[in-house]
Amino acid sequence: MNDDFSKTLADTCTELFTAYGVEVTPGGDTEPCTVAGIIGFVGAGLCGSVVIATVHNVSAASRPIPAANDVELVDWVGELANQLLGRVKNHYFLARGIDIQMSAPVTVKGQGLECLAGKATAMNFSSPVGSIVIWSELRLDEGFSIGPPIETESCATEGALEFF
Amino acid sequence: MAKKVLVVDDSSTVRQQVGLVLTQAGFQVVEAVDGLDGVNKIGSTPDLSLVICDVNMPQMNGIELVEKVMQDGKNAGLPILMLTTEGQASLIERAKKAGAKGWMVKPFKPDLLLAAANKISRSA
Repeated sequence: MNDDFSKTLADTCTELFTAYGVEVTPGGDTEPCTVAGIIGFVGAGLCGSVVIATVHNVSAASRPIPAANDVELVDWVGELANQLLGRVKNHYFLARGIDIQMSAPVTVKGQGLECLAGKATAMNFSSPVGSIVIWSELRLDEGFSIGPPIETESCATEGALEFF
Repeated sequence: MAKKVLVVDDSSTVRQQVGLVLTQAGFQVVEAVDGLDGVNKIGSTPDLSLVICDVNMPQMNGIELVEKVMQDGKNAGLPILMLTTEGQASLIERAKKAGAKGWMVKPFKPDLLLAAANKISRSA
């Protein structure tokens, strides 16, 4: 896994949950995940996916509005996956001149969710309300490489508002 | 009469979050779950003052929604504010050219969203 991609993903995960009121710390033991948001992406020369897997308490604590039921808790994790990859797109891929298309997120719930697919990299995070695992996979076509950040037109950042 | 706003997002959480900000400020809120639903609701909901629309959605994305609505003469004057994780300049430009009135990147600040809604919504 590309080190810069992993670092961006880890930093972005921390920022995202902090933005929603949950302080997370990289590392720590994980508990069995009960809900996950899965989102894929594709660009010229690459494809991949990111999974946020966590427990219901983390979803409940980070959700901006209290959930009325389990469906709403599960939906929120999908939106977290969407916002996580959105940030990674802006701060990692576009910063290197690489455009990616993001899929709509898919959510799953269960007991003891695990990612068993071959080359996914796992990053654990702990928080006062439960643990979080980010699984990610970034596949590059043969001969394709991702370089350092380049001079490129800036993206609108989180919270920005522009009128036309 | 309260202004009516259509919120288009495939996330129920975002629809609720935006809806709460707007209803607490006196707006009426209608929801759509994706771009296609959004187009249909625009066609069938009279007196809309504003649409707040995500970009990445199943069935039809938000920019395609703007393009479709603006092509339809009946609703061509309807203000549409994009609310999305996307920050890419080329996407913003495409939305602008299609006729959207603004672009906001998630997560949003409620007071900023409300200020935007008040600024660009048209009279009821």
